[in-house]
Amino acid sequence: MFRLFSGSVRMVMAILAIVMFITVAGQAFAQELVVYSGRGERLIKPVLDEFTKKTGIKITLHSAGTVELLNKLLTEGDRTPADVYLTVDAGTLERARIAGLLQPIKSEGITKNIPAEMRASDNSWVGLSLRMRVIAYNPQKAKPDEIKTFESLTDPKWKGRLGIRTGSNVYPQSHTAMMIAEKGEAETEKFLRGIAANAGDKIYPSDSRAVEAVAKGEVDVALVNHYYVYGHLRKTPDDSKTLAFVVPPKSAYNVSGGGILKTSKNKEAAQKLIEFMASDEGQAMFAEENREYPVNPKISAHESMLKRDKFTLTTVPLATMGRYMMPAIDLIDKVGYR
Amino acid sequence: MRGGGEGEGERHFNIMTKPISYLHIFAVGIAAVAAIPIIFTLFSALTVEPELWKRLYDTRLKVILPNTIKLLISVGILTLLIGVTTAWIVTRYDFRGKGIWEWLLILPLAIPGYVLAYAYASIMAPGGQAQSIWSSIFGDVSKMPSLYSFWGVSLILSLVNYPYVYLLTRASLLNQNVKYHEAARVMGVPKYKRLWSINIRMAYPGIIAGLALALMEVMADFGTVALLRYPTFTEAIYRQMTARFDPSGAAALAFVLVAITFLLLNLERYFRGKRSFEQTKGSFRSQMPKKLDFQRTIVMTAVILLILSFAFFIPVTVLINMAWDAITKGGLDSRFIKFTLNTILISAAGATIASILAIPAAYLHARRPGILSKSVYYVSSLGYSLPGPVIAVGILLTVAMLFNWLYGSILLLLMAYVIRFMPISLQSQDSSISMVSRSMEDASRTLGAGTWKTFKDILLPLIRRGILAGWVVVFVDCMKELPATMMLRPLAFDTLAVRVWVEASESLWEMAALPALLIVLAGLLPLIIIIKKMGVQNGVEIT
Repeated sequence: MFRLFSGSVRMVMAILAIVMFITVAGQAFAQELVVYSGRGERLIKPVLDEFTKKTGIKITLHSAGTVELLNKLLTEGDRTPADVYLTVDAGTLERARIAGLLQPIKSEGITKNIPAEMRASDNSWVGLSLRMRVIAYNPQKAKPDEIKTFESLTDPKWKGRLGIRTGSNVYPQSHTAMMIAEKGEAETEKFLRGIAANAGDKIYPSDSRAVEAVAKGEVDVALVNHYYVYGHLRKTPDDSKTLAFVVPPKSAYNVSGGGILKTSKNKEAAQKLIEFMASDEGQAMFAEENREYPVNPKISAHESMLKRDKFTLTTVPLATMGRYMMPAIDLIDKVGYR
Repeated sequence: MRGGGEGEGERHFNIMTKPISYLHIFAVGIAAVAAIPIIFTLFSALTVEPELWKRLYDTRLKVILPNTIKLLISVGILTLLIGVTTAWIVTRYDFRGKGIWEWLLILPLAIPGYVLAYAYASIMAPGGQAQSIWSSIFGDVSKMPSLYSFWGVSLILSLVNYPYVYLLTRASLLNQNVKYHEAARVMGVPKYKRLWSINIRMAYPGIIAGLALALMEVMADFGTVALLRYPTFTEAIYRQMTARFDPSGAAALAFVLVAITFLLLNLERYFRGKRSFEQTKGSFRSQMPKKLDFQRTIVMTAVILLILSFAFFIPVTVLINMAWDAITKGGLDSRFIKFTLNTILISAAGATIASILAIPAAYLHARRPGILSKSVYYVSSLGYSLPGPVIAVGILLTVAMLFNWLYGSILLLLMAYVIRFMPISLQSQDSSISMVSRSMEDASRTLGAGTWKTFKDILLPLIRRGILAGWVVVFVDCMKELPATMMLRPLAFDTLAVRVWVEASESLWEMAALPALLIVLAGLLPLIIIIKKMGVQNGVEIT
């Protein structure tokens, strides 16, 4: 009798302990934000740490490829643990919005700080740092006059002298999408065929490789994101003789950005995080380490960088570009640009 | 029960073993699990809108279909050339060192295509060894042929896959009865005609079987073509899933790939037919190899050495060099140990599950032949002819429709490994059970032991080596597996194969060297089994 009693007491206590553990763990979990991030961990971690320091909100960071994470979110559906989705590309964010994954954000801070063409029409996603497509070149082998526009790269004289990045990456994909939005599919196809023919097998797996190829004299010009040029010159300042870049007028650009998942149970904390990144302080941090431009035009870029008034950007809103992501991927496949 | 007209012994056996048992139910269940993903794939491909088919044709099929066919033809010709020539040299001639060359020639089987592609990509990279050699001989580096081309891919895939042709051709040539040659010579048939009409035509079934194996590998290859940016089906399926998240498009492409694979398999059966010219019983005497003089020995050795250098020695030396550099720079860090542990654990789990699940089907196939056993065996073997991306798409579709909560779980990866590689366990268990005489099992049953006890106490100890051999091959195949791993792994779960691929596609050559070398070392293990077989029998069976 006694033993039976003590057995059931033990059982009740065990159940109680489990229940308590679940509640406590659940609460601990509730105060935590889960961030799926397509941005380099080295670049995003300091910003998130600063946010945790300020607000006490803990963050679990899952870093992976931007598109890989979108696929994960699509498959996980409403069971996803993620609260915030950060990407290196507006096109993928727009795809997430179209798929109904993102929660529109109502925030004065954001509408005030972020220009309208760099966020979704309903504020489902918000651009956080600005990156331009530019033409990197070797000043000893090419003149800036020869590369005034992206189209000039299709000139046959660049055959074997042009480097580009693999077509499976989101940067060339969203550049293509932007071009379709601007000039239509036929014109874009011509452009893609032209650069693919000129590049031949000088197709690089990453922008940093393409920039390095210019600096080392492997190619004379390359189509890359601007901060890779700065990054290379920071590491090897001596290469400034063989590496520079041109921003074509009305240049194509992209943003890294983020949005809040509709299924998030911590929307308030999630919004705090996005607002922090869009704030003056967040903006400076978010863009500076990687030599990107803050999306908020009032925050000045790092002093070593080209001033904002020295170049112009295309007027196509990023949301419009995002709608052409799938046609862009189709076109890249069709042209056989790997 | 089968018909009543059977002999006394047979009937006795049938009384002891019910025709439909729990064993059958297990085996059918396992076969069903193996078949479900492929059924889902076919089903969703057949329900695809015509609109999507058209778009797939315009953007993908128009490119990958001719690409794949071109590749099959070129690799077919090259593997035949290398495989048949080398098999010919080691079977028809006798020269110093032949005994070693004979088994060294299968070494390239240890290197997965993507590792060889990566090794050559690093050798031929700007500023690499190949460029400096080229410029010292020919000058202009920009004229150096590119690895990232049709011929680059063809050569890599041929160097990795010729051993299939070599092994099976060699076995066929060894099994030829010299009497046919003697008869032909007596009849005055000229030498070149004897070569064609006897040697080659009699070795034909072996050559075709080897070629079919090599071409199946080409169809299933993902890493080589993706790394060298040569679009084929596997790469297109992978991208359809990862870049677009378009399961129906991926399923449609997978459907076409499976159709081509089965067409190829049937072509092989058709060409090989029921022809078998091997007579190894009765008055069998194999042809005596011709003793070579010194000069010819040099020539034959040079031919073999040339092939082996490109297929094994050069790339492996480069890998060892780079791996050593990586080690001195602290490459053996905790990250690397984690990848290695991940790989060993998941491969061991895959091999163990596959070995256990294969037992019922293998046992039934070997011991209780019948339509049911045969079909279960066939269905469970399907996975081996399905490329990794196809299995991954099938599993993802199944999960999306039935078990959504499983997504991102390691179980999916294990399932892919089991479906793809269980056929190896099946084959090795089936053949080792068939080699054991059933009289001992009958005796055990007569003495009142049940099926399970008989299996456990009598058969299992006798086939342990067969199970183990299958386990080793499956383990190593799991280690090498790339596309399904890439598509199904949980977030941030890296294996050695994934690391090789990720680092190599970022052109971080040195970072990929250690994991690549480890994969090659592991790949040498199953070769020991093949070499043993080569020694024991003259003929070799590899599957």
